[in-house]
Amino acid sequence: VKKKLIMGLGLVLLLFTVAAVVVVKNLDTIMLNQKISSEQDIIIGKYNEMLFQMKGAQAELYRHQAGYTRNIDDLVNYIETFDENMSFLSGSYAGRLSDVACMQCHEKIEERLTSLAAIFAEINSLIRDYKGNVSILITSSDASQTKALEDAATTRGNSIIQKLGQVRHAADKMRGEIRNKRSALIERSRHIIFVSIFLTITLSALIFFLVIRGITSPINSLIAGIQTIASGDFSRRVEVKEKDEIGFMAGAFNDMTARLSAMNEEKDSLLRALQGFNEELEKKVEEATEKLRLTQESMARAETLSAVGTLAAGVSHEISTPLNSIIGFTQIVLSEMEENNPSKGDLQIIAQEAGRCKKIVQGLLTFARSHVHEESQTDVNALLGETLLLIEYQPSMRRITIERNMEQALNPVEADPLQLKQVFLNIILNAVQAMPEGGRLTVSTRNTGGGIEVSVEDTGVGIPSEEGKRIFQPFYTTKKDGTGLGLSISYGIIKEHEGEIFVESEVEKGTTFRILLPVRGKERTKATGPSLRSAGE
Amino acid sequence: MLISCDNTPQRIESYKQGPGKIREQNFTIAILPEQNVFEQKKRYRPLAEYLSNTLNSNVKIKLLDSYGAVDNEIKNKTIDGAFFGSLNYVLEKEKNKLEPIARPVEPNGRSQYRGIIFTRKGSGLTENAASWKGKSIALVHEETTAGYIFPRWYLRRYGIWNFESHFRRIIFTGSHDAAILAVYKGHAALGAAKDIVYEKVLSENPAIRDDMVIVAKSIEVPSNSLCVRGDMKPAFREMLKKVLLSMHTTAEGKHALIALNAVRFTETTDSEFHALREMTREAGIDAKAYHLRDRR
Repeated sequence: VKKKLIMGLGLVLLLFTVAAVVVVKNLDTIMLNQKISSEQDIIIGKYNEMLFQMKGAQAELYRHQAGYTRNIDDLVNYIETFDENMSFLSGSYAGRLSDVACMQCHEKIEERLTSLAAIFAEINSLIRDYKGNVSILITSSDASQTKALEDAATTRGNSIIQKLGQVRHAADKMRGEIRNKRSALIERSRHIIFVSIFLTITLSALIFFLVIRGITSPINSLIAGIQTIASGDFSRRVEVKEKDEIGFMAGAFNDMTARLSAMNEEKDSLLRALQGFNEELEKKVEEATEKLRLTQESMARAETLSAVGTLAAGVSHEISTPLNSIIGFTQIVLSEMEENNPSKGDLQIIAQEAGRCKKIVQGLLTFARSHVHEESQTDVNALLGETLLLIEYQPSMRRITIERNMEQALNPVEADPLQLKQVFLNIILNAVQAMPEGGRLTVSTRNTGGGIEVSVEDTGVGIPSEEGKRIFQPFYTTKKDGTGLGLSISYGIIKEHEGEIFVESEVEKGTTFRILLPVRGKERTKATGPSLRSAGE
Repeated sequence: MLISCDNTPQRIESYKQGPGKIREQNFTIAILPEQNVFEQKKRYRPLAEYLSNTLNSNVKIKLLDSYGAVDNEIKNKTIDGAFFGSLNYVLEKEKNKLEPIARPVEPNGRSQYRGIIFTRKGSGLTENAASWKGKSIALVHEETTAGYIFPRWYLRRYGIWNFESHFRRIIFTGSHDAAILAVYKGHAALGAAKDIVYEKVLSENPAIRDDMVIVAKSIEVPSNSLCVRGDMKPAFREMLKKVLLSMHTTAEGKHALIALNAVRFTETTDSEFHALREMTREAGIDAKAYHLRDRR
């Protein structure tokens, strides 16, 4: 840009300089002509003045010699002034014989000057003699001498007047010649000045136009590119072919755009990664939160169960003795009572209810009792098979289809088989009871990372969500004759095996129980696989 | 016309004399041609300019052709003063009131001159005026000491009373240098002029020196002195004298003095002319009756 501006300005300055030179030169010519014209008038005026002075001197001389005046002041002044003018003109002409400048304006200048110099020399000689004559005759009292001097002076004076007249005539002629040339020269100079000014202005405007276009065009291209890129299109590149500041700026801008594009892609990639990470993190947080919640619930439930177990152990011990007495004495009374005794029915109800109470107490004791936990390598598939065998011929199973999805190579687990069997039986019975109208019972096993998973799925009535949170609590039951201890006991057994038990249920669609068990006792601590999975899964 | 190539109108105009100051008082001094009248005018022009400036007056130099003209102009009061030759002062003093003021002192210290009579070498003429009998003599003017009174007085000392008849021809050249040149060119056998002019002409023309010889010298008399009319105001007269006597102390004054070929002005008093008055009387001139003749 700077180069363009400097070049443009330089060209314009050059044009103006050339135009100025042309104009000044022509103005000089015009002024010189005016000056020459004025000087011609002055010089011719000087010749006229000298003619007047010499004629005046002649007249004064005559008046003096005729006795009209004794004052010779005017005579001397005329001659002195004439002489001074003559000296001035002669001195000015001297040394101009080879003046080239004069030759440009005056034809045959050397010839003319030589001729003029000769005439001037003659006039100078005449005036010198004239002065000599006058100087003597004005004071001479010798009549003959005075007469001779007077005649000589008069003759010389007339000669001077004649020669001066010739010179003046020549000057007049030359003035006429130069006047004729001057008009043509001035007209030509005017024309040249006008054309120079017109060309200068036109070319300057053209140069400015080209320079401005040369500057604004790449800038506009750059602006368009910037606007496009500012709108988010990083694929656009600015096209500027010039190798100036704007070209450099466009190149830098394109580099910057390329880097921005790369950074933008990297940013998008990072954002996507971050989004994934966030989602994963959120998922993990949710999982952890859920697990924490379940753990808290589990812990609360465990504490509750523990407290209930302790309470139940004490209460059972205190109740079982009188209950046994009630049952024993009731059995005795019944055995001794007549069949038709109206109270027999009542006693039978007592015995029945007392028996039921005893079952509850036994359940409580079972729940609270520290079982002898005897673990061994247990084949869970076999245990499930035995359990299903126990129930599949029950009348309630008539409208229920059993589906087995057993992992053939299911890892054996380190567990108490009796307790596990109790758990499976409890859960399967619950499932059967949940499908009074029939359905499908699906029992599945599979290996997991550190253990196995057993799932029991039914297509029964399902469990409402608010109830689902309480089903593992002791004495919570929805069945008419249930104790509310089955799932609590199952929960306790699985926990004792450091496993996990979850329930998933949807009302009117069914319920799925999942049991996770670690493979080996040693790995139970590590085998946290079941615990990693939330109860909601 | 061709000088216009190099000389602007301004330059040509500037060649002319600049405008003078407008002054009310005029003071005109007359001079008479003694040598070349044009040279004489040039010599006196700086003095006129200097006096114009210092006296704040229009001091003008006026050339007149004779003492008769000077006498008339003094009487008519058309001039205020004039540079009088010694004899003319003596003669004019007898007719009109005139006051001598000052006269220039030449570089050689002289403010006086002698009248001399000279001839060409080999003319055979000696200091004895008797030997001049029948010769031609070139004189200056009848009102000059050196160019008329002294030869006349000199002849009387030799007992020759008829001056005009003693010479075959008497030429009045009008100026001292013309008288010298007349002798040199052979127009006259003898000549009479001021010694200072004689020396000047000879110094300017060494060839003349070898051909000329002085045969008689007069006593010294004051050189041309500026004298003013007696009716001039004493204050202006004193101021004029003061200016002239002190002009050598200023640069402008020195410039004017150089043009006059002088170093200063010295005061001129009437008493300095007593000897000349005596010579005039002895020459048989009655100053009171002497008619200052015009050229015609």
